[in-house]
Amino acid sequence: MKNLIQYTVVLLVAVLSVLPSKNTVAQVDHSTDLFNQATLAYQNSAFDSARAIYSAILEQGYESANLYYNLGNCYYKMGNITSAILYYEKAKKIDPSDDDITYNLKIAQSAIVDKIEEVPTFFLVTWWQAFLNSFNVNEWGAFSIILLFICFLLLALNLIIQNSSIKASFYLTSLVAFCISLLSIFFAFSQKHKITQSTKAVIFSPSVTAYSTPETSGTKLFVIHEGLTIEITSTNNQWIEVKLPNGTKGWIEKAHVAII
Amino acid sequence: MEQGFSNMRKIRPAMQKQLFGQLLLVFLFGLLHLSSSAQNVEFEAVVNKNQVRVGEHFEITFQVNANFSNFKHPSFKDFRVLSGPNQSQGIQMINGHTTINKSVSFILTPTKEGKFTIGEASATIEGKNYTTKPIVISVSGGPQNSSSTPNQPSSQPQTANSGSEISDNIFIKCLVSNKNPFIGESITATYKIYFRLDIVNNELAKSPNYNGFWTQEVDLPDNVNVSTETINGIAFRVATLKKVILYPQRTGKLVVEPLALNVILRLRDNRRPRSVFDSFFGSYKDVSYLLESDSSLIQVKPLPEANKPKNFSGAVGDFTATAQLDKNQVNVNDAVNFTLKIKGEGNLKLFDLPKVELPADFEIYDPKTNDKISSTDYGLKGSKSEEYLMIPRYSGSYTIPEFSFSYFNPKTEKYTTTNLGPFTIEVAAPNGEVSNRPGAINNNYAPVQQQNIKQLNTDIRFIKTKANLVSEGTRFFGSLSYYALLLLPALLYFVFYFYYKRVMPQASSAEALAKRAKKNTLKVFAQAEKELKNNNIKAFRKAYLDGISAYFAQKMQTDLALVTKDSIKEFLANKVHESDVQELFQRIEEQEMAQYVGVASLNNEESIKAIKELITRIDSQISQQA
Repeated sequence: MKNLIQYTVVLLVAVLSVLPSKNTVAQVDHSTDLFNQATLAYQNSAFDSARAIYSAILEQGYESANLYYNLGNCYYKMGNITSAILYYEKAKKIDPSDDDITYNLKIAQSAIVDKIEEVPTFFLVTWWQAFLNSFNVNEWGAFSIILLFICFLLLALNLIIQNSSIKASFYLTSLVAFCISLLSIFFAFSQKHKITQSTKAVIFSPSVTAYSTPETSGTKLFVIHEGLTIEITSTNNQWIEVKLPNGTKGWIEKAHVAII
Repeated sequence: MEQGFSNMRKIRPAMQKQLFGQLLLVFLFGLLHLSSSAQNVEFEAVVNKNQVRVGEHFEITFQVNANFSNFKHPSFKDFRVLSGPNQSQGIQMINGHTTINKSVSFILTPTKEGKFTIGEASATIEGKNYTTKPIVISVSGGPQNSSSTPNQPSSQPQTANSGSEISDNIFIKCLVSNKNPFIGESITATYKIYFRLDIVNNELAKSPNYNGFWTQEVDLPDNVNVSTETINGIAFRVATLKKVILYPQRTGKLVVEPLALNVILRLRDNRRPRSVFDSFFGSYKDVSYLLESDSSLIQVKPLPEANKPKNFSGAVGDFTATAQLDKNQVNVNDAVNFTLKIKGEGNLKLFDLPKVELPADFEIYDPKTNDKISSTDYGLKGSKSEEYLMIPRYSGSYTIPEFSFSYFNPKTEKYTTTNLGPFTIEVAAPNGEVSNRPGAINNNYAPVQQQNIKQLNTDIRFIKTKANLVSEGTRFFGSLSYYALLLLPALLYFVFYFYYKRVMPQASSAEALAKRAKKNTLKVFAQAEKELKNNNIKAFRKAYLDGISAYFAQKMQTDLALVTKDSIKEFLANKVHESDVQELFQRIEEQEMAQYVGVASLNNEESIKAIKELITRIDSQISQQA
């Protein structure tokens, strides 16, 4: 009995030691206080000062989907639709499952110049994306851990239980839990890949001409305007190849965009 | 813009005051002492022309509208005095108001070319010293042929001369009240015609365009007021043609375009009279001439950005805003009037009234607007109002939230904000009737009329109040703690597995029991000692004997029922000293005897101590054997 307790204690200490230390927790508390101040400022319609506080938190090296979302709201209220879209997109990247972010992004995007019909995707792909986006990366991660706990708990119970029919069902359940846990890890990885391999950007210049080659001598292909979200497909020095939501591709200068 | 044409006045030649009438008045009132202290003293020098040729003559008049004494005329050293000083005096009575006009005039002729200044004249008027302004006369060379030698009939130079003569004697000026206004601040542009010639007829040739301005024409009186003004010493008759109030709508440079007027002038004909009648009546001719005012450049300032109220909607001027609710306690279905009114001076027509958030659940009709705006010389003045008719359909307490009206006052260069409201309206359910508010008990069970929820506006959703901050780039998934937690269930499982498979079976087996037999037995003896202390002798003896038999049952790994004295003897043979075995049996018998017979002399304390030591001794000897 003593041995078991000892093992557990050692394990927990090991796990806790890799979790954030107390010092950083205090700093986060300070930033959270700032965050609450900004919330008050926003409620009093002092959008510019709220925006300044949120930016200060960002500069301290903290981020969260909520922080980006709130910044987007400030910019929207100040009439800066382009910056609002950029921050909503940043928030959405961290937490694609949040309904409020999607809603506000849609409202902000209804105020930009370019209206591009998205290419209709195969419904299974849409479903798959929607399923992946139903949880963010951390939620998928937490999910995998919980399932693994369930899996091993059932296995442990199986050692004690003598009834063979219950034993069989426990084995089966634990196996299923193990498989789903592995899948969750896979989903979390794919979400993480989406975040770290940033491929989207928002146009910040009022009017941008896209060329067929990464130089101004190329054929002019199309003109896009402020606030449009585009996908970056490749880079060449100061030029990027962008892909519009309707699938059209062209080269524009990097200086015109802000990467999400 | 076209109405400017109809507004254009016909300028009639001002009637010359007849000398005869003036002289008559002098005779009638000349000796009367007339007080003129009620009016401003105007003492000025006037010439009939300020550009003359050598040999030409001109007249200079010093006039005053009061009595004067000690008159000193300036020196005419560059000129020759042909005549003068000629004094004249006149009295005017207009609406009981008496004016004295006194003047001294000289007729001069220049002696040489150049620019000459006629200095100040001074006089004492009502005990004070007054001076006139100096006048510059420019003299050009050579006597002019056509004018000085009328005997030579040549029409060509004459018309040329009359052209420049006309432009000197008749022109239009555009006077702008403020050339550097704020955007939205009212300025007035006044077009005045200055003339010294007789105008027979006039016609508007070009009405000015005001690009970048919002305009409002000022109505002028139907009959033209002709006054006199002196420019560079020459007296002109002046009439106002057109007056426009302008509101700049853009910042930067704006141009007030010129106004053009076609006039027909009656000029004296200088040709030799053809007949006796011509020379008697004088001859004249009518000349058509196009007059154009100069254009004015106006630099419009933007409104200051500092302290600009958020709800500022472009009102510039001086206003007062009022809002009124005609009653604040009504019954359901009774009409309520809400009036919003802005009164004052400024660009009243150019801004909207502040938006009022009326209770969404009321039936609200389109507002009745009522503008009472008149244009004055300085801008628009009046009031504009909106009256809302609302009918509450459900009882309850409703509020019209506070709202504000802001305007910029160009005089103080500051923004002013007036806060209005909030207003509360209490709507009571009518007496004797049941409120038609949903949820009210309806006696006749008529279904409540359902309606769709009105979507009033669309806006972004509110911010999140939870921070959930993490250091940038760190993420729970993929972190060390994530992997540690991922491995934890597996580790816990293996720990449990090990414990269950290895430790538990040992603990439950007979062998394990045998190993812990001494420990268990000592526990039983401890219990026995407790009973002894409580003087519970019977229980003590039972525990005493049970302890011993339990020890051997565990040691021999058999059932308790199988433990007998013989089996113990057999088990202990060759393992334990004979003396210890004997002592054990002695102790057992002693207690058994006491249990059944009752031996009072038995020392229980000593006995329990001894048996504990004995069992310990036996146990160690068995362990050594094993």
